[in-house]
Amino acid sequence: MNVRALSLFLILVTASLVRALFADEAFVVDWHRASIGSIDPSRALLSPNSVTVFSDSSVLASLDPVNGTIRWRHWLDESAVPRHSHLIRLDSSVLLLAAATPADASITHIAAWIEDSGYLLWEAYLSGGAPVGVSVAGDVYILLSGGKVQRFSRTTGLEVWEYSLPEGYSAVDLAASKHGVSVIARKQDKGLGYFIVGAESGELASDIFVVIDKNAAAVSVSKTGGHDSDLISWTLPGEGSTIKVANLSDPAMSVFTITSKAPYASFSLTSTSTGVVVTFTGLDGKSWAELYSISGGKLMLVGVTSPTESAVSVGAGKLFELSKGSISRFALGSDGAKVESRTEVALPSSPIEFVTCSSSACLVGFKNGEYILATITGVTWTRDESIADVVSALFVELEEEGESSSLGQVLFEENAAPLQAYIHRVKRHWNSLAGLPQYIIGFFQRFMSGDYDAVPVEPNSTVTDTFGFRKFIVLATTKGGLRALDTAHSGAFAWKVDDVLESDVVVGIVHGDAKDKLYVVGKFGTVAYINALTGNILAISKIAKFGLGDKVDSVVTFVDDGVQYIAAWTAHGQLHFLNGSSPAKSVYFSKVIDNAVVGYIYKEDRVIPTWRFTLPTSSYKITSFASRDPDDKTVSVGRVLGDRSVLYKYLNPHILAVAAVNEDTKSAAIFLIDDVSGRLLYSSFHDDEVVDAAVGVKLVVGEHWVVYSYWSELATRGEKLVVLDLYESDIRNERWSKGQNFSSFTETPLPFVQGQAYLFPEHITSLAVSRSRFGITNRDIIATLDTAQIAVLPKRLLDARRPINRDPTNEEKEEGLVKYDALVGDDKRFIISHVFNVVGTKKTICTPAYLESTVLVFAYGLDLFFTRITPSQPFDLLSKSFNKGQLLLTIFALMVGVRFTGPMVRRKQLNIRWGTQK
Amino acid sequence: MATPQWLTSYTELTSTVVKKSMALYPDPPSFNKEIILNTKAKHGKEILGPTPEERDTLKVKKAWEIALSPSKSLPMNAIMSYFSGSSLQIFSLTMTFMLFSNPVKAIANVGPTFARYQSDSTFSRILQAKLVFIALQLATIAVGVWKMGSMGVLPTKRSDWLAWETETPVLETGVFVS
Repeated sequence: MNVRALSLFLILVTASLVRALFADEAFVVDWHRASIGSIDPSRALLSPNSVTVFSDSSVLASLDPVNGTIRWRHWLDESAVPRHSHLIRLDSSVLLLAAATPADASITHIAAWIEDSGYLLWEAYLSGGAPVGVSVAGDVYILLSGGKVQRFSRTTGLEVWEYSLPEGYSAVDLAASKHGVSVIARKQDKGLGYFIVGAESGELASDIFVVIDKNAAAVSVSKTGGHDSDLISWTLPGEGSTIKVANLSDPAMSVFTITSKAPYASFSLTSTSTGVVVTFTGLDGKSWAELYSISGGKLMLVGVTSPTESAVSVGAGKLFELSKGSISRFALGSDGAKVESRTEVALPSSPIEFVTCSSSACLVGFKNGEYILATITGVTWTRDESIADVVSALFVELEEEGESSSLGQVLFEENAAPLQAYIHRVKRHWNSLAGLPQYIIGFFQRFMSGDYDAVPVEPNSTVTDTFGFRKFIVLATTKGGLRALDTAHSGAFAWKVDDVLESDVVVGIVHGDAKDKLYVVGKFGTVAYINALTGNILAISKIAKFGLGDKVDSVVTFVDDGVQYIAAWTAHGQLHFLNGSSPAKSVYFSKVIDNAVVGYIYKEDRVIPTWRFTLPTSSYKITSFASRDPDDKTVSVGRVLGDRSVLYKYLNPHILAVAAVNEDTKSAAIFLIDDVSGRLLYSSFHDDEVVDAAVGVKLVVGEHWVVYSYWSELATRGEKLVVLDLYESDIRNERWSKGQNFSSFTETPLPFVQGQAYLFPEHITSLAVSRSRFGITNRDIIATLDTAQIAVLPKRLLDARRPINRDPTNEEKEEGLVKYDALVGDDKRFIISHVFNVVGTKKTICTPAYLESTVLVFAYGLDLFFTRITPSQPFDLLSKSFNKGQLLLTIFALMVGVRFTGPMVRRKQLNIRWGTQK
Repeated sequence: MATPQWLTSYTELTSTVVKKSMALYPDPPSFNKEIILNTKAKHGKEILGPTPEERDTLKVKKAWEIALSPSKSLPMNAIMSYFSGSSLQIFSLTMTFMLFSNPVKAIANVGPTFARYQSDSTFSRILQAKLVFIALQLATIAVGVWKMGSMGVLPTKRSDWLAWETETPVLETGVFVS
């Protein structure tokens, strides 16, 4: 009997360990927003059937020109640095991306991608520095920063020849034509010039270094791709409005001088069939274009557009001008620019950052991170890429049904005179009768279907749903804007605010005193107080007494004696309280500064450094740190063992876990310190491991435990996941903290730490822990993986008490322990992101729903992903497959049965008493 | 009011009453009184039933028999409890329930159970029997308690009181600035 009960228990235990997302919940409870990141015009290629970009977030993506959706994308985080990369067209269907690799800047990765499908045609790794110039003239010519020129076959990617610049020349760029390759270089004493390398031979056509200019400053080469009209332009130091231009294929190297109409901030030069178009952006932000024609060895100004508050760009022989309300197209002829077409369009209100055009369409970037594709007929699509670069994110609770409308009225009734209150109440109820039919319909819909989503919440309302699954997620972007996403409507924007801090850089957002108010704090002391439900800025101010040259480092929020405080911590170590009040009693702060943890005491409006925790040797570098979420709740102070004795949890809220990597030996170390007193509680050194220092150690602190992971090259190579469980004592039933107050300054016993390590099959990029409403539900560790997936691991699986190399005893089985297995998480059912490719996630945040069983999870980074998880199964929610109709039918049938059989039985009993029936 | 004759003759079954009634009513036909009297005479004493003392002794003996009857089932209960294991199943749960309900019922009914043997003269001796009876029933309950203990439903361990233990109040407010 005992054995059977145990096996039943084991089935229950394993059932909760093996848990997966059901197919009917996928795409319903979760959503994913794929992003590409900020677009740079130099790495954007427009063609009639695609818009291909290599973004600042290392995403090579092709966008549909019709609706702006991503047709394909590759996250080249490990193989390409956007800053040192070139995206050019090889032919009508193949693109070439040449980029320095992030791991080693001396290696360049070149790859040919098919434009329609995103398939890789060929790729090659070149040594010799980052690419400085790429040119296509039949084959591919590439110049590396080390001075090496290489020619590659356009179709196979095989090297044809290689040439190196002589000593003393630094590579600038190259322009290839059918006859030769002009390798532009600089030499200390000669200035800017070029060599000609034979396209076929790969050797210098002549040894002469053709000097272009001795004093050239900024150089840019405008390539047309084998038209023999590649132009080189440069500026001269000290001559603000002068631009020098020369045609590289002109043997005489005649240099033309362009003098702009007004001082400019930047210019761009494009060669056309008849001459040159120079677009300028003036110092005042106005843009204009100057059109020159080359005839008879002379450059003649033939036309100029009037400077306007607009952006101008040249694409395939046409000039486009975008201003606030219109888009214009100019035809470029030998006699100047003529307006061909002009359309009124409504563009985003944010200032234009760049415009890059093809013959038919323009890709426009705005300061707030929005991108549009505009044609002469109007805006084709808009993409908001600001959500790909998030500074800070938080969940905002919405109002409950009727909360806002009825609360004030109820308060009125409580305070008014009885008669008046009575009349008010009757009126209120009479008015609310109007919603009764709708309520009844909704009630029956919900009742029959058993589905609380049967009556969906309106997208533009600020009311949550029955179980609190609907919340807003407010994102602060690096572009200075705020975006609110609606979790119930696939992450659609609930509201947007641009430039919330008036050109200050957002450092953080925190909840205000009320749940629907937020503080947005900027680096230079700007604070905005906003309504989180509407995005309205209620107040904007500067921090008073903000130090000169000081910068806000981070925003902290804490509760002391039931009062919430919001404060900005500055680089000078000052604390500015934002919501008016500051705590009367001492508060202890700690911060990681200069590879050490520094403790502070806040007392009488002053922050005084008190202690400093330094690492054992200077070769240790802190890679990460984590502390316990102050909102995390503890239900039970102990852990019940199989013999019903208790191991008491070490519930010190001041635990700070610090991970460091030794840069010499590449070994990792973990320190658990008390962040009030600076006392070292526990340390662990992984001296026999070789850790990837660039990634470091990922850490998360839960109730009374720490989980961390790191990629190790040694022993068993792979991701190692370690759990440390902290208990008050190793002696059962012993609790020294009972009946006294916990102070970090008393010499309390050190925690008893139990640890266990596991192997995880994938690279982990970040760790987080789920948090339920009351803390009763088990906790899940949420790990983002570099396979663009998100996994959950039950904390019960990562348990340092799992028996090693033997089966668990009966008592251990009762405790829910399973035999130790070194490999953990090798089960695809742990993946909560299912088919989504959640690329580049950096952080995961959690918030509870109204249901204790359910935790809302939001991961952000490049992509955004939202889902809800139930670490202990949805124990407080009926499953959708529950047959409510059958239950009702059964109850109804029983009622009918009782109604009919009741009188029969009563009659029979009466007859028996009278003896008239045997 | 004088006691009716029929009540006296039913309740006071003493030999005098019997004699009286024998004198009152004629013997049934073919009943030979002499035979009985002769038999008595043969044995040399009068057979007129036991004396009140003897009856009392008999009653007390009977009462003790009842008082000790639970001791017979006690070993069986204990053995069954031991062998039914500590798992929570319907069989062992019912059995454990019986171990509590039967003794409680028996203790509640201790008066009626011993009423037949009760009289003024035997009161103190019957009381002893009653006490032993109650003690044995309590022993049965003790077996039940032991059984519950072995099933783990008695709050005897530290973990049973864990829910009432609260977190230790923390004196300092610490904030980590990340």
